[in-house]
Amino acid sequence: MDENSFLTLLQDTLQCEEALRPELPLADVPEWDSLAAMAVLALGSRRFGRKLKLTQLRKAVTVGDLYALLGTG
Amino acid sequence: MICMRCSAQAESLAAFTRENRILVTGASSGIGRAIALLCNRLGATTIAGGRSREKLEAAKAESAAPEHFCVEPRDLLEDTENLPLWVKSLREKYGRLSGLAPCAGEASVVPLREYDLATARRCYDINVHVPLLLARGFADRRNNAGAGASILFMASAAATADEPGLCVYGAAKGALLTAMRVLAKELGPQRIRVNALAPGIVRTPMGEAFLHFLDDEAREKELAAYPFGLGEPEDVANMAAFLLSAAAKWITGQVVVMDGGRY
Ligand SMILES: NC(=O)c1ccc[n+]([C@@H]2O[C@H](COP(=O)([O-])OP(=O)(O)OC[C@H]3O[C@@H](n4cnc5c(N)ncnc54)[C@H](OP(=O)(O)O)[C@@H]3O)[C@@H](O)[C@H]2O)c1
Repeated sequence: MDENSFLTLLQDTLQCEEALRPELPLADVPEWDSLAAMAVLALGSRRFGRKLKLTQLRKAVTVGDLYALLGTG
Repeated sequence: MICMRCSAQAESLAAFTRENRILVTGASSGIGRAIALLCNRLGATTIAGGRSREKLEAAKAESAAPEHFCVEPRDLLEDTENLPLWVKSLREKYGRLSGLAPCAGEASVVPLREYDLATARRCYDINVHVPLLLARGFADRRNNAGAGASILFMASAAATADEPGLCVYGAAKGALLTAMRVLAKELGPQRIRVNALAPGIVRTPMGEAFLHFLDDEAREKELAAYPFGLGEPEDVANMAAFLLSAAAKWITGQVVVMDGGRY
């Protein structure tokens, strides 16, 4: 999936008003909480067939890191 | 128009403003209709869903404030997956929502020997998947009014009554109750309250349909088992309006059984 489509999908999953940018630190996204992480894990498995672990997600620092984990390849 | 069957107490307890936009599905008949009309009369803007535009328009004509009774026909079993987007489109049209009462439903009495996948799936679709997908759209931070928003699911006494013939419908309503308790915890941090009502038999087309599954003797027995008689849609609506309103701001994760003393 291309980066822009991924960012739109992630924005919906996190229910953010603002558009997301790859360089944005997740710490600056108020909607990024434990429930959001759970939703991203479910999204990864449903949309991308990736069975990620929460510990892997926790290592992501920026929005772009989530793309690298989920949306590429 | 004042409905004399609605208690004055509920009216004073539950009050809304027109900024309180409440989406009620199943608003063309029975319980959903009574909830939509009462919330509208108590000051809310009601967004009324149902399949029949004609019946929704008839409810609107009866409402206390028709200019704040918005008719939105839709078959919830069509394009069900996109219900969260429908909620989003309603928010874009009317503004952020503060209440959700998914009341659309269908009766289904099926003993195990008649259990079939198509019937069961339809029953779970309308009673579990539809309300949860509506809740998903509603709980999206961009679609609701934030703190004070409230969801009220319509379960049934069938969920806990464990009566023969209810292994599909009762189990689906039981699933809805479990989801309600989970969502109360998931959405608590967003200050969205989630509750459910579990009525016994209420005098509506569905209630009548349920009674038609019983033979004469069983029907007499059933009616006699209600010391306060069968419920009226307004009995359920009074409690619904209370739970949707700010008067219930400390109540979440609860199911209120309303059955006139049946169980
Ligand atoms: N009545 C009872 O004894 C009783 C007891 C416990 C719980 N409940 C629950 O209370 C809720 C309301 O029941 P009720 O007795 O008020 O029923 P009702 O009078 O038969 O009305 C059912 C409502 O659901 C709508 N509906 C059904 N299928 C739909 C669909 N596919 N798409 C959109 N709308 C649909 C109908 O719309 P149209 O008429 O426009 O088609 C109607 O507004 C249900 O969830 C039911 O399970 C009822």
